[in-house]
Order: sequence, then structure tokens, then C-alpha cells
Amino acid sequence: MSKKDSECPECRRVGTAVLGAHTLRVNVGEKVVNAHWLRFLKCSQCGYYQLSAQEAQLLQLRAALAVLRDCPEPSGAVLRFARKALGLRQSDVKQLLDYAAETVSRIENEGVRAPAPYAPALAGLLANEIVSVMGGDPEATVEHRSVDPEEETQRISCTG
Amino acid sequence: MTAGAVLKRVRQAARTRQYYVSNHAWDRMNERGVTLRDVQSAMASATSAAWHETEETWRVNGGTDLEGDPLVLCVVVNWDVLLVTIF
Repeated sequence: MSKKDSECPECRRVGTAVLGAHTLRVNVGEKVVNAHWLRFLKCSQCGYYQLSAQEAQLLQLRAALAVLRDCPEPSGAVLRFARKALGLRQSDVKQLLDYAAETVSRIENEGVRAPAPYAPALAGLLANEIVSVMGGDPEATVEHRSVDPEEETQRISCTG
Repeated sequence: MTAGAVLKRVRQAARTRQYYVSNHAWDRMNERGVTLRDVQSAMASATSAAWHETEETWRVNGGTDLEGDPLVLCVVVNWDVLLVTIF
């Protein structure tokens, strides 16, 4: 659905697309983030929508950042999601943040408490990545260009 | 379109990050904790594609997520690549 009057690919109805800031759910580990800032077309009849890869990636990055900033002691599942949203393998963390893959694995899978600087370091990488993704194609980022990512994450509500 | 051409388009979409994600795929990704970077990893590492007549989609096989676990993708390839769902 690229235009308001186009046919819904799911239910085949025409003219049912509604442009708006529909709520999108993002699961970050056991946390649920409801994001409201993205404007996109959604079929009013069957609920179908599609996101560009860039929009979807921004949603995940911002949700992960919001949870890391809200939770003083994020769980292993949250930290795993944040790492994967950055496209990092456990072994990549050694190079970037100097934590061994085995340490990361224990934090994520065995409930071992993460060293104090680990979550803030991931949050820093997420913030940088958000700016990097937003700085891509200006046409594709028109929804976000004028918004500070710091401010933006505050508009994401987090539960769970 | 041939399976080889689909695979080429999917890999290219992963490289350029020019593809779309349907609401079904988004829901499945949420359920399984799959990130966009997992999907891109699976797209880039996929080894085969097979047409599914009943679903009218291509099933892209052989790819793995960031952890190296198998991630099968269901896509529609027209002007753009649309991720329909994941398995």
C-alpha cells in the first residue's frame, strides 16, 4: 500500500488505507514497547501495513534504547535484543566493547549480572546507530529528520 | 522469475537495505525476538529459493540469523522485495 487510494494487498479492498501514527508493538526481550511516532498507511478493514526496512530498523533501535534507558538492570533477553538490533554477534562485542563472547553469552543466557558499564555502552552504540540510520536517504527519513533521537525515545511508552 | 533471480534480488535487498516488512512478518519477528539485522543476515546467506504455489510467495532457504541459527524467509518479489513472514 503505497498510496491512500491503492488496493490493499491483503483484503483487496480499494481506498481503505488510512495514513496516521498507528501504534506499533516492539518486543524487546520481555519488555513491550508501544511506538506511536511513525506515520504509515494501514488498511482500516484488515489491519494490513508494511514498513520499509529502514523504518522497521529504526523502530527496533529506538525501542531497545528506550528500554535500556528505562531499566536500571536490563535482563539478558533485553541485552540480547539490543545487541542483535545493532547487528552484532556475540564475538563482535569483544572488538567494540571489550567483553568476551563467553561473558556476553553468560549475561544473555544464564542470568549473570552484566557489568555496570555494559548496558550504557550498548545504549551509546544504539544512539549512534539511530543517527546513522536517520542520516541515510533524506526522502526516506522525512518523518524523523527534524526530531532529536533523544527526545524521540521519550515518546515511546514501555511496559512489561 | 527464476529461483536464481529471486535469490539475487533478495541478497541485493539485504545489501542495500531496500525491502519492506509486512505486518505478518513484523508480528512473527516480535514473537521470536528476531531483529532486522537477523533478517538481513538470513537474506544475505540464503542458498536457495522455492516457489510456493498456494501462498504465491517465494520461500528463501538456507540463510542463518546473527547467531548462525536457520531462518527461513517468505517473500514476494515484484518491484520491491516484501518480507511476508519468517519461519
